[in-house]
Amino acid sequence: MENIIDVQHLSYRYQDTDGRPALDDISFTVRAGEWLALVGHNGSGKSTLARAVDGLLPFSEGTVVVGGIQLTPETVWEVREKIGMIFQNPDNQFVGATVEDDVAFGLENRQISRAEMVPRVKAALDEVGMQAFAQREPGALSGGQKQRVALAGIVAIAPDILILDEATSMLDPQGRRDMLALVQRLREEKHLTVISITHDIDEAASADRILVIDDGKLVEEAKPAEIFAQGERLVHLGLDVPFTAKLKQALQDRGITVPTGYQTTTEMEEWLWQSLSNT
Amino acid sequence: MTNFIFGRYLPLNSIVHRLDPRSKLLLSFCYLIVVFLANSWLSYAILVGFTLAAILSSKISLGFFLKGLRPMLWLIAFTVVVQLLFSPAGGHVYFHWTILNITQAGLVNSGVIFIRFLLIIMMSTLLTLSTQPLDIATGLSSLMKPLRWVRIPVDTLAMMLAIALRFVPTLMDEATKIMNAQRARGVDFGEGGLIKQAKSFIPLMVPLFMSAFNRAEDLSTAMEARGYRDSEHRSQYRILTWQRRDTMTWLVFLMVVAAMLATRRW
Repeated sequence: MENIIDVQHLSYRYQDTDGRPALDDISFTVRAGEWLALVGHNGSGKSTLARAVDGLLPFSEGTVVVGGIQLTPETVWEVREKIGMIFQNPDNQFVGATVEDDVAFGLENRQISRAEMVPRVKAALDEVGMQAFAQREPGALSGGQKQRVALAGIVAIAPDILILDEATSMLDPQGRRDMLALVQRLREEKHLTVISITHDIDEAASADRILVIDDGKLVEEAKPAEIFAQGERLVHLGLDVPFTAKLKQALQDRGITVPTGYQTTTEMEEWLWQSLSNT
Repeated sequence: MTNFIFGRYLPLNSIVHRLDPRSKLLLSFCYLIVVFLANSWLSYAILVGFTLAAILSSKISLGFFLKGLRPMLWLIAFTVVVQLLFSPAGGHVYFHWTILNITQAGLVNSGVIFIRFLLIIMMSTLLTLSTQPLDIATGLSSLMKPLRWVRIPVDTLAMMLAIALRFVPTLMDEATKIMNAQRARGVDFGEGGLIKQAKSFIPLMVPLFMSAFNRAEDLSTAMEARGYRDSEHRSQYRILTWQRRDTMTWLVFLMVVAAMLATRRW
């Protein structure tokens, strides 16, 4: 598969920091249709990286190519056509006064006629299951519902790439699972490429590949199973350690041999049952 | 804050609610002028009749309007009393003490002031009770369109207004949260003298402003990411359509104005 995003030697410095780069010579590529997770501590530069790819930061060194278009001040709007972004705080990205107004916001910006807008807004809301809330105001919605509206806004403009910038971090566990399931479904239906910036282990586990960013540098690149096998080190990478990993660590400390690699909760459960029936 | 009726929208399904917001805004504005043109009791009676008819056809109970008057009560009472006591000489003098007079002209004047206040407040309350703030914003920006010719950025102003309205409830919620958090730390809101009360709002305002700035920054990033460049080159999802009921309403209003003009003293 072709590379839909190609980032080479990207560096960025915030003006107010004492010369320490927020991004330091980062290079990576994303294949079309891939789900890539970016993990790292707070302040490691992962959000900065996502913003740079969307042309929201004027980086000086390096190149970013999105869908064959090199990102420059002239092409930034073309590049943004291809990328939909969802941010952390559900309230601070809700522009419209009602759900349907908010979904229409991106379409209005693209000067799409009202005749075309109405069915697209409706279809997008159907897609995320928020049609019944079309007239509601944001105050009447939960965080998870607001994030779904944000997703509808992206579905309406039909980009190739979806960037989730800690989009689930302010949601409760159920809202998080629903949101992830929805993203997974939309990804399959719309053939989206997904980049998710996250601390959440389940979200990272959904990815095909994980990039670990630390102190503005790309420090590791691996499949989820390889990353999760590192147990204790996950904390240092800025991920919340999954329960199964904690359990394995505790068992190991008691001198019990545990399988290596990452297991889902169900796999771990089965293994536990088997080892219990063997003794 | 909840008994402050101004700016509170009551979602009902009446002809007044369904009117084009432009129609309602313009009508309220013209009504303001008309109220000041009336001068005979009969002309006021006609306007009172029109106002009552408008309120009745909005299906909103009169209680809401009386509640809406409450925050304005002191202002009305003050103006009426001042009019009453410092009125010019004219007609029968009922009461006289140093510079204070209560005269017949004063009684009439204060009565007129009272009716004017009442009518204007009733009508503007009706406007805000029957029209969503967003529709008022859309209506206003649509009415201001001609100002584009003198290079006033009407679309940008409209966008700012719409976003401000959108964030009012969000910031209100936040203010409540911060107040509770500060109360838990021992701040007394609304107690002590004026200066102490004003000071107690500092621990509310500082975090509220901080958060508002952060929100503004997040919002501008999100808007840019969603393709927002400027307010001029955008299409509109929300459109206003002038309908038959708007024309009808204006016809009724014009007849009322004609009747009022015919009965006023020239």
